[in-house]
Amino acid sequence: MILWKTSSVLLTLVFFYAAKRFNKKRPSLLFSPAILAPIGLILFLLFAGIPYQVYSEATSLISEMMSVVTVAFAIPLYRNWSVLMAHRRMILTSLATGSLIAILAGVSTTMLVGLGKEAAISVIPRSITLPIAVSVTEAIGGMPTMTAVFGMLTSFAGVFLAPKIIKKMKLRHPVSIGLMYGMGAHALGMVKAFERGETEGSSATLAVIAGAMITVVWAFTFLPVIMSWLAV
Amino acid sequence: MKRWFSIIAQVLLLFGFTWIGKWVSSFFHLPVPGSLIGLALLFICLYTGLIRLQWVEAGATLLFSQMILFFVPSLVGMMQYPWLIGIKGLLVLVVVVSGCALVMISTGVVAERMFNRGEVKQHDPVENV
Repeated sequence: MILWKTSSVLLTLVFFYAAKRFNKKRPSLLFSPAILAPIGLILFLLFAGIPYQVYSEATSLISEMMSVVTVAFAIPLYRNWSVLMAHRRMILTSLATGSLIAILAGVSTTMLVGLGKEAAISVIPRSITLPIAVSVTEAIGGMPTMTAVFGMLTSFAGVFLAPKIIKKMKLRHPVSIGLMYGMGAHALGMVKAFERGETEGSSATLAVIAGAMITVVWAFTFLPVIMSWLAV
Repeated sequence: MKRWFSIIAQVLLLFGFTWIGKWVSSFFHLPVPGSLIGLALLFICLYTGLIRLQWVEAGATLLFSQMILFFVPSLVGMMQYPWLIGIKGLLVLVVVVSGCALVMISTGVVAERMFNRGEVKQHDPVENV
């Protein structure tokens, strides 16, 4: 059992770092380790005939690290606290609007296209950074895997859409561009925002953290409403 | 070598906060995930100066740089949903892309509007990650 656990963890590490090296040679969103490593592992597991349940239990230590990363978000929050406080009205208003729309649009479109109740709950936290999203989804009864998939896709979609939205909506201010990147595309958006500039980057970081906090508040406020809505 | 030792100690300290958060959450039967309670506790400790930034900063940087690794196992869970490849997967993409566009437009536009109304004074960012 211990041998199996170690080898599963090692296997994941090998696939991840191989994907990372490959991405360095070919820097493209499509070849991101977040896509390559899981696909490689899925093919391997399917080929070896190992069910996901077994793999998931063996690698629980790696998934467990997500909650530690969540706790670590206290550090950038603390470092950016003065910026957050200086811009609090604008940041809170725009992020509260953005995260509310994320929840409402997510749940309603998921139900509309008929993906089911489980998917609708898992889609609630998908606009926030993955480690926090997974903890939230566990607390509200969603599927962590679904949330991870939705969250990852959102991040990619956000990075892809952002330049078009900036042009169309004539966004000029670096702080609003940063907030948009952080709220819409969390992790990857943060990286892209830093490519645009310091102000964009730090406001994206803020949006990632504050957006997550606000989404948590919205999620718990609206959960009873959404649940009764889904039950119909 | 000494640097790595201190980074590992920092990660362990973060582990400690995670563990306390989880304990608080289950002991008081709170609906909030333990990791968020841990986040709040660590923030309070930093804010009150009980814990210095240097004690946890390097550990956090390491964790953030390897963040994608931690959700690889969850993403492998996609194999439980073979329907993601196909028409339903396309629907998922529609949900994600449309939702994401709405979120970005609303966030960006609201922020920009408030800026133009002059509710925000120009302020330099203090630091970033």
